[in-house]
Amino acid sequence: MADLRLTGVKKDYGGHSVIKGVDLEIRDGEFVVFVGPSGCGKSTLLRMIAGLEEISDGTLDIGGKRANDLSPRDRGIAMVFQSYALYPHLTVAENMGFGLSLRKTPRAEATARVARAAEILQITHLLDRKPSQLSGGQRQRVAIGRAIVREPSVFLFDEPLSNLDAALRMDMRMEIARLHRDLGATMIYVTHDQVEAMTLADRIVVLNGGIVQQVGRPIDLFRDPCNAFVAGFIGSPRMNFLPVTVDSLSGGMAQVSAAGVGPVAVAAGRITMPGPAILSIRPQALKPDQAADRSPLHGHVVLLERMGTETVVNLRLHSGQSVLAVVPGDLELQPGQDITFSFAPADVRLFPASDLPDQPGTPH
Amino acid sequence: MRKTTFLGVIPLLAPVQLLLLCVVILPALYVVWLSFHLSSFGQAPEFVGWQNYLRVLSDPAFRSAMWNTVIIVVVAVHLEMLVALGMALLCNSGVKFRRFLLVAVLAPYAVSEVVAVAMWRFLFDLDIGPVTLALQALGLPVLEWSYEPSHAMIMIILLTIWMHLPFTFVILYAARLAMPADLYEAARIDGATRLQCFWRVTLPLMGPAIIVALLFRYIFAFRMFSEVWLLTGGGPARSTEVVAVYLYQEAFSYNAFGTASATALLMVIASLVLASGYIWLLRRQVKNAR
Repeated sequence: MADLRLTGVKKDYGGHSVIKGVDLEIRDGEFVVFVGPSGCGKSTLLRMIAGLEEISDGTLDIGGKRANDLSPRDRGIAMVFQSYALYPHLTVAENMGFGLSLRKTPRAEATARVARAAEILQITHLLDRKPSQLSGGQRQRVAIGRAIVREPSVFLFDEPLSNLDAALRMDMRMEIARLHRDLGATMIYVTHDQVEAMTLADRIVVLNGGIVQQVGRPIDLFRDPCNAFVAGFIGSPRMNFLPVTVDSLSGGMAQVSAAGVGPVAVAAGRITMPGPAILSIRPQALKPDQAADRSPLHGHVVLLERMGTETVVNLRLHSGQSVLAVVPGDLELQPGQDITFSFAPADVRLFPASDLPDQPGTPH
Repeated sequence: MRKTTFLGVIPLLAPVQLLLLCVVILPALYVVWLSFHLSSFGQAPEFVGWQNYLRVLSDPAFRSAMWNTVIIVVVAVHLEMLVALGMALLCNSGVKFRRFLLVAVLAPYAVSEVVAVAMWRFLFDLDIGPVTLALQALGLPVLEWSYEPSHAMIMIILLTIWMHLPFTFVILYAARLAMPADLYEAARIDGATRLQCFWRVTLPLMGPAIIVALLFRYIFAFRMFSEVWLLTGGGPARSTEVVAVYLYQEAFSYNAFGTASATALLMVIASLVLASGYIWLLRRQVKNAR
């Protein structure tokens, strides 16, 4: 078992900076998920921890030992690839035992370890098959089995479920969570799927443009995002962003207003000066009622998505801005209908306008 | 979809079948028939049974030609395989000047065989050949291929390797390119050294491509003609003759079509025997891959 420490870790490709200085501590036995949009550097960071990419600057410590120049096999890690990367000419058992046979582990011990891992993953009946005879889910199990057999101190997962269909993805997600509980190993998991991030992680690391945006427990990131990027990335459907004007500030509260919004007093957050700002509201925080302590939003229904358990309402405010609201149950509404939603000032966050340079007037 | 019947398909296949019948099957049958007859210009073929085969097999020139062919096939094809494998892996390793390397390896295929042989004759000319002069300047022994039989064989082997390297290389390079990079990353994480990667991942996965290339090259090399005919003409004193040259001599120098046909059939049998090991390996690999 091992803890990891990244200090000022950078990655350059011929002058082009991909990872721009990451400081991160991962505790022994922790499940950490790197999440972010495509090209944010999350996979690169994982590959640097694996030793598949060189670290341009900074240090990586694994188990208190500097690992920058260690080869992948000396880092005590195992990695599961998105494409499974199984050796097509070897059977499942040979695939899982490949690392052991390279290290000349006695045959009896290797067989026992493979059998144990196969049992954990319930693939004992597949041991004699070739990868080409397996389904996607089975292949991914074998790939995970290959990692388990090596008994690493750190498991690295690079988008392991992206190639699976939705139902299988959910099963495997639970499987990985169970595995983490049973093995108690440190796990680092890369995904662009925030549901995977929210459900699996002890802590989430949100990356964008090679910079760590926020690190924290999933629920903390959801409730208290530190900037508009994290706010927009965590949570589904995506956070609504409304351009507003801060009229005045006092005692940590900001008085904001916009066409069709407010004026309303909300927590000032990082805002220190009056002027343009972004008001973010979760779709789930909007309710189709008008209590006295809630602030109203007037608009008309553009589109309805009735999911049965909840209804996603796409409405257009009088200012022309699109807003999404998620309401529990099946709502009797018609497209074109005028409607007033409201939010509680405590449920919204205020961010500086500079957080979203290309102000997304329309979510999605 | 419209249901197709066997009878409905026959007219569509017939032109190709007819063509194959005319240019491959009938001539082949004619050669079999001819091999049991004494035949020459201006003479009615006369049935002689196995006599042509006995004559060919007891001819020291044939036995020497067969021996030379086997040596060239075994040495040249396997050496060529090693060089092509090395080049394919080198080209795939992110080496500098990769494009230049590719052009250098593939160029011989753009040169006609006759021109290639003329070029080599000039390069290795014992009086004015640049390669000979360079070897002499470096104090190295030169290839006295025009009168030393063993040197002539070396020269033929070098020439045929150079000429056919593109074929083997292209097959192996394509096979190597088709292998996914993450397999090697997985192997590195599993703890494989570069050498272990080669033995345990690269070689087994390239196996089918290697065997296909070897099989084709065995067949091509076995019927080798132009390299020998144009370089040494089978000389000095028939010492570098290969079976195809022997056959040509029988047919067109001595007009003995019966023995020439018998030689041709013996070539088919010999190349089948030589290649059978690889065919067996290939079948096993294809079965394994399923």
